[in-house]
Amino acid sequence: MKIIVCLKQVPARDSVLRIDDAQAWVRETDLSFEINEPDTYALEEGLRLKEKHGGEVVVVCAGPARAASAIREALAKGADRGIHIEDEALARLDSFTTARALAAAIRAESFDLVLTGLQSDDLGFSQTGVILAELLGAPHATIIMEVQKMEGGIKVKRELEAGWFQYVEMPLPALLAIQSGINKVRYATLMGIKKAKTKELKRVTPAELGVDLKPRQIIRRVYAPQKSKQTQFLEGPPKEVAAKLLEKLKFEARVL
Amino acid sequence: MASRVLFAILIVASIWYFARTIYRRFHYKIQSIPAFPFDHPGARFWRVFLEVVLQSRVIRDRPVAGLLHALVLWGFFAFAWVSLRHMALGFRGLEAAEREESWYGLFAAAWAVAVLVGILGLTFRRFALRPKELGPLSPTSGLVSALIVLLMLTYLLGWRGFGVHTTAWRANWWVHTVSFFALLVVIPQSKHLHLALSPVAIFFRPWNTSSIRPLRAGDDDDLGIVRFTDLAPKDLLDIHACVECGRCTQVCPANLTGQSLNPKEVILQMQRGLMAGGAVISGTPEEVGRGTAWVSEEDLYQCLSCGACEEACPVGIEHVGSKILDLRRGLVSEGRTNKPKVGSLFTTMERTPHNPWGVSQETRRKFITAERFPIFDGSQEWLFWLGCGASYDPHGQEVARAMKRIFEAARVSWGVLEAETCCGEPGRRAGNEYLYLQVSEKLIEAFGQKKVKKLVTSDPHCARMFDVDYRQIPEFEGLGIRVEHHSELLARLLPSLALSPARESLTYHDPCYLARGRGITREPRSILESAGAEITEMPHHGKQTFCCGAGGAQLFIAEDVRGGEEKRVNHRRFEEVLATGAQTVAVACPYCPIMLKDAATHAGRDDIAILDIAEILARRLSG
Ligand code: SF4
Ligand code: SF4
Repeated sequence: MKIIVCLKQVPARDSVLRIDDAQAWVRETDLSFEINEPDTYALEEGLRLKEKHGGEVVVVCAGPARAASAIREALAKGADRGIHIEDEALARLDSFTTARALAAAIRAESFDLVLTGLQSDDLGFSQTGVILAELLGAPHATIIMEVQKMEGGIKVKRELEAGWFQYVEMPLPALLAIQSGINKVRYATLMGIKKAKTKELKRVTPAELGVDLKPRQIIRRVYAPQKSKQTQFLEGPPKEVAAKLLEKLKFEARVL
Repeated sequence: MASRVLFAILIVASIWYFARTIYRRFHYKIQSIPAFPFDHPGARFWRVFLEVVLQSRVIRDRPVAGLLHALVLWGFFAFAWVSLRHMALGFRGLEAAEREESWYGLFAAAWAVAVLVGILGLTFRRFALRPKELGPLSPTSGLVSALIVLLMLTYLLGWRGFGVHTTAWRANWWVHTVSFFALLVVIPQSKHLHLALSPVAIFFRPWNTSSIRPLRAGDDDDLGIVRFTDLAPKDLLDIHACVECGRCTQVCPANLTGQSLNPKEVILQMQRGLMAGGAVISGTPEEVGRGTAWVSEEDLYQCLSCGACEEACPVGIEHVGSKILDLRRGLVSEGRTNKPKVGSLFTTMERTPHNPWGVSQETRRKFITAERFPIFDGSQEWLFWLGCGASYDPHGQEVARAMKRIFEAARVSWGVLEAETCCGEPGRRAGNEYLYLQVSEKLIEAFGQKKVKKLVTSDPHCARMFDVDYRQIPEFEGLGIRVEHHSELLARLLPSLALSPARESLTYHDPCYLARGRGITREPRSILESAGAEITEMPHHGKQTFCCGAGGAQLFIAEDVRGGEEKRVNHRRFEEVLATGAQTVAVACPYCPIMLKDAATHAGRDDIAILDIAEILARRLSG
């Protein structure tokens, strides 16, 4: 099975975020970055499928230069090679344009399965995966809990609401957006790191792939939400307080 | 003439046999580095004098058996000259013998009696009393005892029993000679080889227990110990020096609480594997069962790295740092360990905020802001390293507050880092060298930028990391940072603190990594005494302390279900606390209170106060 795993690099979970000067994103200096956590489950699932059925795991990442460390980490954990679509603009690009860049790189590979995390920890659109499937002309399924290989395709378990599951059989090639927490991700090992040094990490530019990165969606402004909650304490004998409360509900909150 | 030829043949044969056995034991391909440590040679020789010549450790742990053993050893020293002269006579021919009239003959005779007392006592203990720590009966031990008895008896008979040159005297002389050479043949084949190896092992033993060596710089194949060929010379020495006395297992908290780890068996299994030409040392219990591995991963991951075994071992064997923990490192570096909790610890620590609990940095940030801890900027004298315990654990935070009050009272200039990650301690102890190298690299960079010169921490595990483990990294060593545990700094500050001591009866639990790992037992006690405490010691205290159950990353990786009826390590320790009758147990590590608290709740004794030495001291500050 040839498995493509899409990775994104996002600001580390615990970062102190500051809005940048243009007020359109967070300031990247003095932030540390790591692999988008949902994607780590996609990577783990890919590695497990490979260990079970053989084949190859290729990680593809569309991101600025810093994102190379995310690919190297994936190589250390067992991926076979990496493709880095590199452009500074990819640090904050919309899902559609990002998916186009990914599709251009993935199309050149004759893949069986593309795996993505369910969403990114920074933008959280949950769109890149499904748009990518559309661009690749492959069927997709999301919120995947389990992947089983069958004759001529796969059978997947999807998580629905309220403890319900759905089983879907689908042909290959296909794209799956993996639910977080479905497996136990492996730890990086010294041997893995040493082996990764000799693995291929190909860098390509969007121009080389023939993709125009003109965004389809622009974030105009990023701001911290204003405090909107107001708390008032009404004091006095119960009767008076009840009267005051009634008045406020009627005229200030206008809920009555 | 014939006797001289016979004698020469005997001596050549036994020496050849001796050499051959030694060669068989030591010819393995092993790592030539790391070299033997040779720092403080004076102190090392002094240690050999105390522990080998005076038999201090042997006697300390088992006074009766130890003294009997000492009699035999001292007798051997006394007999050195007798044996040399015996050999000389063998070469000169028996005709040259004369009746022994010198005082030395009498002196040696007295020692012969002492040796007989010693060896018969030891034999009685081994074969009649049969203490279980000695393991199954060993025929070789019986043989060695018999040979020693024979040597002593024949000496006595030769000295005064038979007239010189009588036939009986000659026969006796030959029995003595043959016994002597037989001993030379048997010794290297048995645990009695410790005779030769233990002084060397004791000489080269590290200063503190549980030392992990750095990986060899620039050697990509060094992943920790995986195969027998990865062992260093000192390991080989250790493995062959074991006398199978069982002291290590007798003090091992894991073993005492019914777990399968048995440090003596770890060493002996490595010896067996080595002699059988084994390849990979550690593996799953099934692999050990099949004989493709020798030490089980299960056992390795029960170890608390408490160092009790190393402290107890009379022949200077390192069970922990250079064996158990290095074997863990080998397993982890190759991704071979399958233990779920170990994997979870690693994946948690890999990601930000890089601490073993995975608690957000926000917790720490809020805490230091609310408490108005000064931020270290290089202008202060001391960096107060909180460590994960004092950053995230409520009781640890309490200790940090107490430290602030003491710092202020003593006018110490201090500050804390704006953000900390874990120093990597549980990672490295659990075998993840890569994780440790990752976090240490960032921290060392931060220490350099902030111009840290002195670091103090209330966590002996962190102190140990910075003062021993980090020093193996040249970039850290270059910063020249002095590292102290808070007990050391506080003990020095005592004269400058205005205290109103109040009498209080308490007991003190020595943390393993402070007492054995750092050699600090006096300072915490002097702090407590200055606060007015009267300390009732537990049976295990000082360097003989008993682990709380948290060490060696066990706080994070211990399996919840432990073998049957047996108590857990912390329960067992807490029983010792209760037995002192004290209402308070003082600690000096952020992990001990977590374990002891758990045990107190289990025992229904939440009334016992568990307080850090800093908290107790801060309560007695005047004003
Ligand atoms: S370090 Fe402690 S737990 Fe580990 S083997 Fe030695 S005595 Fe046992
Ligand atoms: S390792 Fe040391 S303490 Fe343990 S049995 Fe061997 S000699 Fe005795």
